[in-house]
Amino acid sequence: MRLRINGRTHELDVDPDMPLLWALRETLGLTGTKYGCGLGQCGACTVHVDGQARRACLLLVGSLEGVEITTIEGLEETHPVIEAWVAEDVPQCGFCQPGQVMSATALLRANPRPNDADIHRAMRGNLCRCGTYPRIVRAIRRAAGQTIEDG
Amino acid sequence: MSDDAPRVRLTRRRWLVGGAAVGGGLLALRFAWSTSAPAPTEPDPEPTEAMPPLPGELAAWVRIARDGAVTVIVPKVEMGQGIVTTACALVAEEMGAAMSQVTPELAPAAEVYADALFERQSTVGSTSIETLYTPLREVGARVRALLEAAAAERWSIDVARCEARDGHVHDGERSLGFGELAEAAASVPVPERVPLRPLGEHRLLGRSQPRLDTREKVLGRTVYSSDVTLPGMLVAQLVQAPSVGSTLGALDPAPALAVPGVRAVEVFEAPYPTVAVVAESFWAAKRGRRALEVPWDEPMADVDDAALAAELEGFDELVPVPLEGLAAPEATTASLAEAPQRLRRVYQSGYFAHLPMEPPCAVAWVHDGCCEVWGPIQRVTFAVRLVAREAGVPKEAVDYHPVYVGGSFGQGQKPTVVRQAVALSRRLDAPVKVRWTREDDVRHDHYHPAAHLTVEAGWDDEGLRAFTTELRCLHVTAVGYNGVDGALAYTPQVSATQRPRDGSRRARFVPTGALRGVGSIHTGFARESLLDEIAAERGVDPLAQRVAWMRDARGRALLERARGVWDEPKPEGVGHGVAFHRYKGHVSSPHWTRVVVVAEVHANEGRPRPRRLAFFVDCGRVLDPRNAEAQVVGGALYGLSTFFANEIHFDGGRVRESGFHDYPPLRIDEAPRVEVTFVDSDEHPTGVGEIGTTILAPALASAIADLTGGRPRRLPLAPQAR
Repeated sequence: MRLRINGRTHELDVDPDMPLLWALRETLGLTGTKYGCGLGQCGACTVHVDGQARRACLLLVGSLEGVEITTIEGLEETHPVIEAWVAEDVPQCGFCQPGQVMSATALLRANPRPNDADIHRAMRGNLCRCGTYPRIVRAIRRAAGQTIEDG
Repeated sequence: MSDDAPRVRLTRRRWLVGGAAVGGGLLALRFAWSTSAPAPTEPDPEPTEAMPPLPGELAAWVRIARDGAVTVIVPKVEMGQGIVTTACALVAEEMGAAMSQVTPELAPAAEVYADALFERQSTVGSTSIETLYTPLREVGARVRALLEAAAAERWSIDVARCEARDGHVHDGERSLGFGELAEAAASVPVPERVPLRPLGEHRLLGRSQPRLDTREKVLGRTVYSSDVTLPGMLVAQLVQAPSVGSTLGALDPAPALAVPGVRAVEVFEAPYPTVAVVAESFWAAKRGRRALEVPWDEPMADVDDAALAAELEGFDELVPVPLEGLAAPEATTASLAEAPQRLRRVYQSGYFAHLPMEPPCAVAWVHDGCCEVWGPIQRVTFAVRLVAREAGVPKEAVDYHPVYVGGSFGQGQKPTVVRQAVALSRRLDAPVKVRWTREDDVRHDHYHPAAHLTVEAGWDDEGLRAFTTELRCLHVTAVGYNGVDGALAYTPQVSATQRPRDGSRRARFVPTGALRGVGSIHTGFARESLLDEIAAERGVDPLAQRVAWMRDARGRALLERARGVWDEPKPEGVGHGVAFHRYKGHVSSPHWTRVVVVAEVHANEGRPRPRRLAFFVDCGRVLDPRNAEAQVVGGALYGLSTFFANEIHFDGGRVRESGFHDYPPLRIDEAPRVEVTFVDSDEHPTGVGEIGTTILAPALASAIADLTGGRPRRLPLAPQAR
């Protein structure tokens, strides 16, 4: 099957019932998307599918022909969200952060001026065990202060 | 556009991150840092930057490249606490390097990295800053001395004219970069004694530094053990013994072996009976695991919460806790008898799970008489011994590859997953990655031990006269009794008893271990809750009582700092509580970290929820304010996730919980406001990694009592409805 990931087409010969997460991590070596639970409860595997934040552990590879998938590796390093995350020194252990960034970028594409309720709603699917939530909120507010284009 | 092809890390032995190389061949590396340092005697793997190592032991700590890039080898595990950045700042400050030229490298296993308190290479007990504060500055100062001597030699001037700063040695207008001097510096004799810069001249320490690992973490490039891939590596999914004492029944491996990609079904014990489905990929291993029916004989199937609680409460033979400063129990009992007022209460707490964001995962490769290992390891010396034994190789043949860890919170002190990976690699003669699922993590953790505490205090109008604790807890080391001497801050007449160390594992239904905050979680809960109940009986403000009864001067100052927040008018529907603690992560440390927390709760959908936490911390000199604050906030939110509403239950000998749905951590919209105030101090810095977790519970319990009139005497404070 063919998957479009970060602007490139990949030919994969894998079980169509395999979650996208494992195609990314093992078949394609894109390890920025993380396994935290495999049940869609933690958000560590968040990617974009046609611009929407989705959990790669719940998406079966066989269902993804024709969509555009973006992973953390597909964002520009100078993306305002990434720059905001760096400026606010958001990460501690860092394991949840690629997923947080992917959810935040999807939020800001859909809603460039989110209020706190919008932020909480969009981000509550992303767990952090290190307690970086206050800085995540600050980083999103900071990134929202700029014009957001696709990364 | 970021290159999305896999990355390669060059170390002594090449290994890949992310699996098969796309387009053939290994790609050249462009990296901020590697995650595995060569041994100090080995040449740098990057030949274009090869330099003679700094002399003697300095080579184990610092490398300087020809272009002036400075690498600081950090003897601690980075699991989010920010140690790599502050370790670099400590060295850079004294060396005169700019942070922009410094890169951290995680240290391999070596005796030179043994911690001063624990005498082993480990990252535990919030002791890293405390133990590295002086030694790392001395390293930096020694390197500066060598660089300044090399410059003085080059310029043929008195070394007193040379000053290292911003990555250069200056003599008036002229300067030489560290890179130009490093080769010459390598042959300067290392001075015995070096003066450290006066604190007033510090330019880095005491100021927040951008963290050196931030960008890579945000970009998803940081290597955790779950990202490590080796050529020919197999992946294992496990079915682990569901309870202590379980044995495997008759197993038919055929359904798993029939799954394409599955190479083997192994039955082994490391340390308990485990079935491993080993395959060429995670997905094949998972499908294989799903296909298996694994029968267990479970002799402990009658163990449930009631049985565990009864066992705890039934510990009658108690012996004194071996902590300095505690009085003999008989003496304290006598003081209690003489006290005009007495109060005795029982407090309890349950089993709590770590749930790090990264579920346990380790990679091991036993080959050619050695064993390479990557994993979430906090105690390196201990792990090397464990790995050597499991691999059947000498300790010296264990190649520990440090990695960044996706949260640990104490779980990495007993990394069962590492032992399992080694056992399988040895069996299968191949590199093996063992991945625990989230369910494995919740069900096979080493939990924070449950505790049953009977505390009694005697007082008069002057103050606290005596305080005793009977600690009933499975764990009889400091993990269980840490903080049980906390009442010494209020009175010298303090004693504590616990069950004797019996050497047998008969009573150990539940595997237990260190969890952030350790024994302070329950001993502090009991002590501070009792003090609040006493204040209520006396009709006295609990903060005022603590101030009046506090013998620790720095503790009293901290309580006074908290008064402002405490005395703020409380909004309608808000309850508040206050607690004090002083924490040390090792019994022989001369330093405490002191903390006061004012906690506010309000009712949300009929249940009490934390609304605001105001911490006041005296940790001596704060080396990096932003990071220290992050640590305290992190500890507070971690504590809320771990024991405000959650605990581990046992049914039929098995753990009931299995994931984020039934052990729900705090989500972003549930986090209360957390404020942290640090005392201005030049005292020796102490750790803040656990301080946010240690004393949350009693302050919240008192806040709930203030709000509702009912005081919870058990953790979790607001259990989920079941």
